[in-house]
Amino acid sequence: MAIATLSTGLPVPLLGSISIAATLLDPAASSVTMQWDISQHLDGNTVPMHAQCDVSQDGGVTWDFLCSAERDKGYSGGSLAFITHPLPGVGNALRMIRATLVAASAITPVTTSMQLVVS
Amino acid sequence: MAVAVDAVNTGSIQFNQVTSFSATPLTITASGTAALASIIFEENNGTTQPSGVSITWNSVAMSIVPGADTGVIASIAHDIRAVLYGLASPATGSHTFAGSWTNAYAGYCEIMSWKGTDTTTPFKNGVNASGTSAAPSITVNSPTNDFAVGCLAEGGENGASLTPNQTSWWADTGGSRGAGGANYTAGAGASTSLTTTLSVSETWAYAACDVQVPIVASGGTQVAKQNFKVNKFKTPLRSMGPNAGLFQVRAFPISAPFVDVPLSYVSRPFSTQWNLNSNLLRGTAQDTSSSAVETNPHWKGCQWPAQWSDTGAFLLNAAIDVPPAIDAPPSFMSKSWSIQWNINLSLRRNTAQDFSSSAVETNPHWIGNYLPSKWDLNRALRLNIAQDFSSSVAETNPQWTGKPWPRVWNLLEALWQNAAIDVPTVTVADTPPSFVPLQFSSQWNVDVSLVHGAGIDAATISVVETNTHFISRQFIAQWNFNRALGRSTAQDTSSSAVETNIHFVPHTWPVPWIPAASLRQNVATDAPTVVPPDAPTYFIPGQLPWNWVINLLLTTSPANDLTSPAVETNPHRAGLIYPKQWQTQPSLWQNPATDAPPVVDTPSYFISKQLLLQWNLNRVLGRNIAADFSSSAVETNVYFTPHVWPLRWDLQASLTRGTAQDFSSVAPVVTSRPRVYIYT
Repeated sequence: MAIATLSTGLPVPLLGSISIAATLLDPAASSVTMQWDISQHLDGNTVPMHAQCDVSQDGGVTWDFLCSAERDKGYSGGSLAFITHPLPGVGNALRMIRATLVAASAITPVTTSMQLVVS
Repeated sequence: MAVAVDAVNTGSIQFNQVTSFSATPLTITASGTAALASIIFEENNGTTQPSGVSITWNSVAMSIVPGADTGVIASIAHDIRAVLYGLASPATGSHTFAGSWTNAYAGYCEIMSWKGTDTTTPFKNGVNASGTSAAPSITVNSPTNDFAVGCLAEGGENGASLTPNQTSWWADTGGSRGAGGANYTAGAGASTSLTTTLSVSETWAYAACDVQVPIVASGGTQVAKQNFKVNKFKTPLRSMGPNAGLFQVRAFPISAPFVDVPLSYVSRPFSTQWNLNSNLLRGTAQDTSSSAVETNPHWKGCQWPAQWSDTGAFLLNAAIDVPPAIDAPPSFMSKSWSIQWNINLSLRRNTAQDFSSSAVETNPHWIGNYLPSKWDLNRALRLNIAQDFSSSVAETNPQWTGKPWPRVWNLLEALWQNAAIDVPTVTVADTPPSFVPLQFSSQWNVDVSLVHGAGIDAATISVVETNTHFISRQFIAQWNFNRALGRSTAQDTSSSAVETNIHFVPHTWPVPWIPAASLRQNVATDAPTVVPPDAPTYFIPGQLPWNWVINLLLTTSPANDLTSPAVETNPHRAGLIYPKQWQTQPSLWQNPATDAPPVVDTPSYFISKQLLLQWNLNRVLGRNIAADFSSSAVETNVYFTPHVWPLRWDLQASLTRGTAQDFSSVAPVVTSRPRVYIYT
């Protein structure tokens, strides 16, 4: 399992990206979970949070969309939002993945962090 | 031709706390004729259900297979729902599988494709079921050559593992709010069964449907011959010949029900007003007065979730702020949650809560409270900032709040009164007859013997000890003075916060704050000052540079200035080179002085040399006979290397015989004569 943290304490508006190099991505990995902290994305916050994950099979030359997930606004009661998706290209040592988390604007200060968990 | 699986996503897609997803889990081959999505919604009880759910493949909307929607089923822990979405003739290749809804929710979203299906209505006979058991099952009307497919949502209240039987489509027990799975099997008729095995009994919801082969094209439904009869026979025209004729047939309604859908039947979803509004199943007013429920054959009565059952406790608080429900049936009683069930928003804040207690879960009347500010951990104190322990704790602790002593510790003012005083001496002799001596209580009696007898010091009697109002108490342990601490550091004993806080968890001082135990040992004592004579306090003995080391051997020589030792003891002095005249000539160190014979005639540049061997006189040869030593080169030349005469110089012995020959000139042998030609 490999875990990469995008950043912690990202202020909103935030725009971050993350990538796990091919050397860090186990060629046998078959699933990726993209997760981010929503403990401060609460009721009353109308800012959408959008996370997207891309995959490359050639060491980062070309990238293909893999999956994405979004919260249209804040909701109470959650601590972690995530989407788990199968990883194509099992056995490929050149495989890379990257993720991007975007929140365009904010009405209240929010901090968050993001992780990619590969298994 | 039978239906077959075209492509399946190998791993499950799971989501949590989101309102939309996009994924690329599937590549539909060119043979694919239908796509089927399995959507599982699972979330904590009472979470607002997702609404306006839209599922798409390549941006083309997929629709719920009629009947294949369990609606919301409440388990003890979670609300679960299983739905199948279908799409005929989907775009082949790898495209985006997406979904969106309002209200963040958790669940699973999977998709697979089929081939050999009907291209108009690939999915039919949708059914759903729910229950609580370890063996969920559902029966699908799936004729031969069709396939039955279903998906299951598991409540997760007991953490059961899940194993789809028949052929597994997907299964995942790692969900945040329960588990899910799906399976399919070849159609076996009206009672085709799909089952799943759970490790323990749990609440489940199963949605399933039939994947059907193409409906017979361009001819309607094939029917049995006996269902027809000649209705009319008409004589043909003469022009058509004697054997020609026309006949007309008419199909009569059959008595036995057809399993297959007639050609004219076009499957359609219920119009909006007939669809089950899952929102109505939750808490909002449900209109049961209309005839929709009675006439919808797919409607199934649902059991109110437990939390909606009438409970006396819920009736305590009258409904508040409930807008008039015009459509509400008379039987509907709008209620609000009793106050003890309302979520205390303050509990969601970041204040410390006591999670170690199970009171929240079991005591419905429990209301979370903030911890008093004095119980909050002062994060700043955990930092490694140097703390001055020499000062009073009360002065440096901003959280300290002075408090009065507890009542039991207050000084009993009664004890201040009637302080012990010296009782005046009562002289018995002066007592008038009318005097009625009163008997002092024993503790006030004066020992008469002390008055008349020899004075001795009676033992001191403490007033406190004789006060009947005094109740001796034992300090509680935490109030006892730690004598060890009382020696040097200030101790704040006025605050009782620590002692009364049952949740207080003592922390170990950070390492840098812990007094070094070594410092406690060996109390500093005045060691006798040892002042070396003439040695300054900053004197650091060291090794003199080699060039300052006195060669004691040289002290016997006058060429050594020992009159000033200051140089050796001045650490600030930089070493200097001896003046040239003081420097010792190293060449003098090499050869001990010996009495060399004075060489008067030898110039200073004379270099004694040894004669080469060949120039030595051979004394032996000098004896007796006269020898010519003038030319002894051959014999004495060590560099002489004898050589062999070249062959031509060898004497030919045979020639030495006879007459003398002149070897000095050998006439050339004439082999030819020259000819001279003169041309005129």
